[in-house]
Amino acid sequence: MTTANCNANYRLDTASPSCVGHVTLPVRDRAGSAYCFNCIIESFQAPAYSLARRMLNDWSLGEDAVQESFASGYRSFYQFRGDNLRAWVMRIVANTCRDMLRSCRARPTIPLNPLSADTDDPTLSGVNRTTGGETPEEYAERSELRRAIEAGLAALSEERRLAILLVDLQGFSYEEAASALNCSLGTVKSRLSRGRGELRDYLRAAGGLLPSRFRQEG
Amino acid sequence: MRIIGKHRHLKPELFSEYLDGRLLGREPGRVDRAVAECAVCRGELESLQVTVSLLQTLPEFAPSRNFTLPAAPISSPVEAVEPVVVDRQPASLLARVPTWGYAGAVALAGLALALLVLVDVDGLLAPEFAAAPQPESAPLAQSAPAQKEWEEHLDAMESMTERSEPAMATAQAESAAPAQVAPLVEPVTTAMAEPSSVDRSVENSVEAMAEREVLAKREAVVEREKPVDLPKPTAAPFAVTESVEKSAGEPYIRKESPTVVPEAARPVAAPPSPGAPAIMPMVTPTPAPSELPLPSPILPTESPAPVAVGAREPADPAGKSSLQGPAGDLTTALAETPSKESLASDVREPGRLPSVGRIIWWILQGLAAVLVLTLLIALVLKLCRSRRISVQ
Repeated sequence: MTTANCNANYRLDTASPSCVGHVTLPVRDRAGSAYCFNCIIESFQAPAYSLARRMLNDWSLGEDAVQESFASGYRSFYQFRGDNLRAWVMRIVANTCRDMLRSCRARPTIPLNPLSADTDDPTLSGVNRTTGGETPEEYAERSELRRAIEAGLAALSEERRLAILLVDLQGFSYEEAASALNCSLGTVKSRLSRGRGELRDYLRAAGGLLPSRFRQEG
Repeated sequence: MRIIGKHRHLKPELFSEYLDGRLLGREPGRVDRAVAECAVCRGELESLQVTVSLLQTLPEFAPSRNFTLPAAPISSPVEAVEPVVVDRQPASLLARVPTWGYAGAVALAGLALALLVLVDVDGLLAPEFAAAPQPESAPLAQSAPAQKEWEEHLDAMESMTERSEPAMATAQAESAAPAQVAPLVEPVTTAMAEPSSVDRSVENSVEAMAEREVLAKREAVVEREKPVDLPKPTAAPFAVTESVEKSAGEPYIRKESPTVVPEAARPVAAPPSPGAPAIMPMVTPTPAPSELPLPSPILPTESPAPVAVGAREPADPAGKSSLQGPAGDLTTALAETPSKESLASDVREPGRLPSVGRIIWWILQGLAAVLVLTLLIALVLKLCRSRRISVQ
């Protein structure tokens, strides 16, 4: 194992000291450029987990998906062409989520605790954290809004949900989303527009639950 | 957009792209005009704008643990940093051919060899076939001296047959009693031991047999044409040869068979000579008539073969002796013993030269043997190589 330092592009600089905070895992892409894969993991594990968590609607499955995705990316990093690392990582995560959803459909499971899947979710602690100066009413309203949007997202189809999560939540451009979803640019536009429309209709139907400032007039 | 007083609403894709700033050219102005003039289009755009803003309020989940790897996995691509040079030189032809290929080729070669041998056993490529395509006419016309000598020899045998016909009847009667086998066969050896009781020409031929090369050649021919399972020495030659006479109707056989009979039967009337014990152990007891070998159906077809090779008579009596037992062997040997001239003519006989079929047979045999050996060596090398690789 070599000692090196990775820069902002996750490239490995063998002349510099080792990475801080993690073990350096050198990998090479197709062009032969060296990367520190632990740096890549640290950079993309949060968005990858958010994507997987919202795709699978289960925090443990989301973590499994992220773990599997990084392991798969580590094994197949030599196939990376060096163009867009974020799209490449998210593509692996999206494919892993598709596979897990397919296997879940093939073997459906019923949770032992049907009341709420979020009660034991350790990842919700950061999401439900109260902000400074926020009243309990505002906190409850925000939490209600978040659950409504999450439910609306869960009601979308997989591909439209992926497009919305990548573009609206992850901030991907259309081209990056097309690369991550392995589809054409027009397909991304169509999925994004239809997904937004469906989510709007869902939120409009659940308008009574939304705060007044987000309530849409039909 | 107004078309003759009517407004056509814009597609939702345009509003979505408008929100993301993806429209180019005149498309943004077109959306602006539609939103300004149409309340429905304006509401569509605003609703999408609110939905996108709601989505952007969603927080990002933080994983409960760190996914960074503490160490490289066992099957890690760390080697990618220091790539291992893989020998991509093409493997040799011997290594690329699978082992079962060699085994199959060896099996096929062995099968081909077995088929060739089988064909030879059937006689399709045997030298007799190639040498004597016309069984009756060709040999007679081949060597006149040999034919003339053969005829003289047959005449002598015929005269011997006339003298020993009563003895033949006696021998037939006594052959049914196994207890009297020794006296029956003993005179044969006696007759052989006493040259005075044998025809002069036969004696001369015995002397000629003493020549080593000719004798070796003769024995080789006899051994090759002798059936695998020789019958026990019996007095059956009478019946067998008679049946051969009737079925084949071959003049040479008909004349030759009586020569067999008197040789075996004559000693019945003659007293045993002192020289008999020396040859007695070579004679085996004669079985009962019920155990006598019956003439096989192939006999009539084989009988022309001696005639065909009449000029080189040894091959003919050899096949016949296989049906006659020791007495028949003896008489056959006596009858087939040619003179020096006939033997010389036999060696110089054109039919004995390698024919095309025999040459092809030799070539095929050689090719099959070489192929089998080559494939066996290759298989051994292949197995050794694979074993070495597996050990490594």
